[in-house]
Amino acid sequence: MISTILLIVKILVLIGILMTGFAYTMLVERRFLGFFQLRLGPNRVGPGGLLQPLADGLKMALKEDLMPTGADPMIYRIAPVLSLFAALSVDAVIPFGAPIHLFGQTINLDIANPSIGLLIAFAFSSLGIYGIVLGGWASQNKYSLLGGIRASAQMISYELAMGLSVLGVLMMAGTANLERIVFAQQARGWFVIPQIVPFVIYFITAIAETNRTPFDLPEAESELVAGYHTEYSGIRFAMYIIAEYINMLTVSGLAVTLFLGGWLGPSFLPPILWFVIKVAILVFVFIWIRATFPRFRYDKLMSFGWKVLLPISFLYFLGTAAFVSGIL
Amino acid sequence: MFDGVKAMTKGLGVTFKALFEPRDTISYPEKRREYSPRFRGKHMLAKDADGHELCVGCGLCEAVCPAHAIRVVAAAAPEGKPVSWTNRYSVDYEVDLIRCIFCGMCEEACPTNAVRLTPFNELAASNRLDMIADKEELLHPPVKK
Amino acid sequence: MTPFVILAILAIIGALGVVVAKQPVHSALFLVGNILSLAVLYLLLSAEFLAVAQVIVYAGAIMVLFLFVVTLLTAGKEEGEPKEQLGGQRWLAGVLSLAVGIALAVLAIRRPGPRIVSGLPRNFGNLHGMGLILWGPDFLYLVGIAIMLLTAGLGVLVLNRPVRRKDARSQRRNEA
Repeated sequence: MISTILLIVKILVLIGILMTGFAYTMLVERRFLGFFQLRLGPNRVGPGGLLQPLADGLKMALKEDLMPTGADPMIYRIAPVLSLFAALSVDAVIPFGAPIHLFGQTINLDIANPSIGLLIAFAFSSLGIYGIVLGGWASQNKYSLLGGIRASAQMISYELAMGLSVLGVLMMAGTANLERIVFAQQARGWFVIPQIVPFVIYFITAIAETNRTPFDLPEAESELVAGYHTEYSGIRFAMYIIAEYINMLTVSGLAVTLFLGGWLGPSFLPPILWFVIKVAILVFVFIWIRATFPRFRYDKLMSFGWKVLLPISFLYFLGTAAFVSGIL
Repeated sequence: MFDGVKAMTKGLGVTFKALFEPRDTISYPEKRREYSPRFRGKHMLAKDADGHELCVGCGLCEAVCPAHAIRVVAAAAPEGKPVSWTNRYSVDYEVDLIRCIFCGMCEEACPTNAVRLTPFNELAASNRLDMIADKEELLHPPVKK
Repeated sequence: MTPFVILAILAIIGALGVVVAKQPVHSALFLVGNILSLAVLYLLLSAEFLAVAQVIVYAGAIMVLFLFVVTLLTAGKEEGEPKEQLGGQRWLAGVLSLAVGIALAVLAIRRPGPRIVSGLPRNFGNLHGMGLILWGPDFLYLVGIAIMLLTAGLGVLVLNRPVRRKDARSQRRNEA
């Protein structure tokens, strides 16, 4: 009974954290983009613009929910929900901190701790493509359709390299349980040191998986208006945006868990804060990259994924396998 | 390939440096930019040192205005109250700020240097009628020149 | 029992939807629903790795490729269904598939496999157990399937290779 209540509370808290996290990631991104471009960024609503997300949310919620004629009504409505669902559910398996003791109970700082947590995270994140492809298809708009098709091709291509890049960590830790991966790093140092190449590849593919600049071809505004969410408005548009930013937080959280030692850190700060700090640094790098690089050309993107990232990560994977199994 | 990585690192460095450089924008209503005194913004009607209006109602500005934005009604100055420095003045002087193209021809044409374009440029109203500046408004400009 | 019944009904709805739906995209989505309910069924059978692999491979990759192709090909097309060539083939197919299903069920109940009779082995269905099976007794099958898939992939590459200029010229001569 108590464990059920605890679980529900944890789920609600996690969703709350993710939603505020999304809101403030967006604010931080907009302000930092401003700073990178020698502007000030949004600083009007509330002190330093702190209430901007609230204003944005209110505006989104009050806007009309439009649906183009000729759109597939069922799929058009479901697609953004799918996107958001996939984005939120991945975070269920990420451990945010070491287990804490409260009121005589040991509380794990994750929703679930399955033995194949890493694979479950990948399974859910692979479902996120559907929201984008279906949204693009259901809108009956050629730009949306092109965006959706690009998204499916891009995300499948980069998912392979992403999967291969984390296999090294999986072999070194000897488990796919995210908590035990962190404990393995406690014993043997952060995996980013032996796995620096997979880490870089993981980060590049993570940018591609979250459809962010320079891999934002599905929503390339210079050629596709807004890509797959061209026709969306109001709360459904907001769902796509929320999904995008939560995906960004999620892939950063996974990167921290797999390569950067999760919640580990010197003891003058609580573990959960270390986790947050590491995620924040990665999110900053996301924004920094967005402010710096121009968009890929589509064929370059594909050949980069298949001919550069995939072979490199495969070779490194084979090397790690040989090393771990003791052949080398 | 290494050239590419080098170039990308350099690019990241450039953007990172931009974080600490002075901003190109300002938080507008609190801080305002200094405009050149020759900036052509909203009109004003000047007075001389004694408080007499300089405008004599000659109508040259009305004639020269390429946008027909100015309307001047001239009259003989009333005897008792010295509004003008001479015996003629403008009873009514209107500038339609929607039509005005801020070319400054009126300023050039004015023989008494009465009409001047000030650097004030916050021209906004929620009503077309409010955009027609009457004489009273022009005599009390937010920015003098 | 209840979860099984719910999942089974969902899976059957998905499977029927694939066949019945008019829009190819709807068919693909029904198939995804079917795959997902099967994945949860695997979870109930404590084959967690299989469940996750089902989602990652089938729902996450193969069905997305399906959707990719379907959305590319059917974009903006509003065609009525062409007239059926063979009368009554739907009914025949339904009856036959039902018969096959019943036969399989009878066979499974009358003669259960040795692994089912002896109970679940240790580590059944998780990463470790799956690895032990795949790289142990079933290794030959794994290699066989790998070679088969590789051959298929190579075949596609060979069949789709761009025509060499010399071949193209001789082809044109033949046509002329």
